[in-house]
Amino acid sequence: MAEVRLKDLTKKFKDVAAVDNVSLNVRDGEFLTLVGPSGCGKSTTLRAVAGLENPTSGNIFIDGERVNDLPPQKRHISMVFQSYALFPHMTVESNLAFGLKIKKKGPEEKAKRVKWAVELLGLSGFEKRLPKELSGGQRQRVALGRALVLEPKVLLLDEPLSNLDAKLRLRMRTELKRLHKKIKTTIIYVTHDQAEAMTLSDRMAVMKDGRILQVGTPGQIYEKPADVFCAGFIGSPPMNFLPGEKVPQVKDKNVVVGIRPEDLSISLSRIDAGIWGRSSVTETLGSDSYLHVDTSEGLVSVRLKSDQGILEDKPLWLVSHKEKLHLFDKSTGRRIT
Amino acid sequence: MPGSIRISSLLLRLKSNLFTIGFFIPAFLYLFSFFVIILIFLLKFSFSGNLPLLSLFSSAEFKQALWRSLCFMGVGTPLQLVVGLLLALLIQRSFRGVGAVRSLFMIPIAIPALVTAIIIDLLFSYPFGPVNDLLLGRHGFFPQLVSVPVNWSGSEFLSLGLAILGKTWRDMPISMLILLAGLHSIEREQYEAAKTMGAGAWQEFKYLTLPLLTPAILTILILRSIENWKEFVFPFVLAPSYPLLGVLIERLYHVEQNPALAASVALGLVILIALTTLLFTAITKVVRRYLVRV
Repeated sequence: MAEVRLKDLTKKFKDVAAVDNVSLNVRDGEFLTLVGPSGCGKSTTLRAVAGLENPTSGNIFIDGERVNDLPPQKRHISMVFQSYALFPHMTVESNLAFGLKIKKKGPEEKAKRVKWAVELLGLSGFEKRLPKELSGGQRQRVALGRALVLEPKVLLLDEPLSNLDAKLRLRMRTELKRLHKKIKTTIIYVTHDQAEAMTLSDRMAVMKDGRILQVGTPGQIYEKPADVFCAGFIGSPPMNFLPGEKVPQVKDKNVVVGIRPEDLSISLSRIDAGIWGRSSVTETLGSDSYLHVDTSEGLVSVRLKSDQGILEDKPLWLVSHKEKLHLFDKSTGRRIT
Repeated sequence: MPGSIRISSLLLRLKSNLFTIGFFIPAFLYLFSFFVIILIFLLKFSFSGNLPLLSLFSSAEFKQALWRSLCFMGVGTPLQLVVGLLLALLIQRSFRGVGAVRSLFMIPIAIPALVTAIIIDLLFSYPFGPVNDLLLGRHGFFPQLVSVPVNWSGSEFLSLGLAILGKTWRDMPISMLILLAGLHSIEREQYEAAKTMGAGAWQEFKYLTLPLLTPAILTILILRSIENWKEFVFPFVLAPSYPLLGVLIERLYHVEQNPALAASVALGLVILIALTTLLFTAITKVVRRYLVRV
């Protein structure tokens, strides 16, 4: 267990800054997620912590020690890769024991720790199999186990769930969270999936174009997104954005108004503070339904209350409480408090 | 009628597999004409007359040639593997001008083996070859290493050694390319994973590169050992006084005008090649199992 501190970290490939002046504190035992669209620099940041990329400038501290010049072997980290990177010629057991062998652990300790990982991750009976004889979920668990048996100070996870099918991904998500509760290792987790970030993280850092836009708990970022990008990236379906002058409660053309689908309500009779539109299609997700409303500013999605019937192709007014509106500066995109 | 049904279903199967059959026929003809027919003639020749096979296999000439061929194969094959591996490891990284370097390493195979062999023969000629000049200290930049010129082709050890080196030099691009392809098929992330688990360069090589290269290594061992068993050009030019099996075949056929004996030696070579292939396959399997065990 350890804390990780990034100070003004920059990584350039040729002239392009993949990571641009990133500073971040990851607390001891924390599950921190770097989330952002592909190409935002989250994986590069993670690889820099692992020692697989040399930062162009800035410092990385693990447990207070500056590790910039340490090779990955000496950083006491473990990493799980998106492709799992299991050794195809080794059995599950050998894959799990590989790091222990490298670290010259005795046969007894090796066997003990491998057994621990096998039991923890439900891999009993698969010890002698080769990676190609395992399912995607099992491979993923071997990759995780291989990292965990080394008892790293920091566990780095690079999109570990994105190669799994949707159902398995949900299950592994829960298992990861339970695992973290149990082992309490500091985890830095990279994903492009905001739902994954929201459900797993203690705190998350939203990244775009190599910069961190906002760091906070999932709740904080959802409730008070720092700018238009964070507001739009976190939450599904995403927040609706309307120009300020079109929202009667705001009437300010220098402002972009963001409204979450669940903060809008529908009225079939005219409301002065409402926005007029015509209902178009309904999406039902089972427990929730979303109605897409055609307004003069494009489609706006609204979460339907359970008692509202089918509302397709009807004129209606959309309204929200004023305190539920998120106001952003139109020129900078930053939140106006 | 069941008979006509059977025939029509057979025709149908023929028709639906026409494409496959079309591809199969040339391959079959090729194999048959170049392999089966040659083997039949070889067997026929070998066992013609009053069984020259037995007398030949007990002759000193044959035993010596067999021993030399064994040495040639036993030294040359691993040497070609090691040299190929070193070069492949050297040029697998991408650096400025890697394309040019790769092309440079391809040159030996573009030169006819006979030309290479003759150039080596000229370089190492006795007593006034450039190499002898060098060793005698006739050039200022090189220290004198011998006091009398070395008779390369007069020594069994030296002449066969030169033949092995010449063969290795010429054929190194083949091993190198096969191994390079093998190296490129290993995912970079596997090395990165090994690094994060604490592995150094040597451990990466031992636990990842080597075992993952075993298919390529086995291919090289088999291909190269076959080539080395059969080798003719280099020993023929560089070590004419010390014939290998390949050279012996030529001598028996051309000089001694005894095709039956030549065919017998060739048959022996085929058997040796088959045995060597089995041996290398077994060895590679054992080595791989040892390397994979963690």
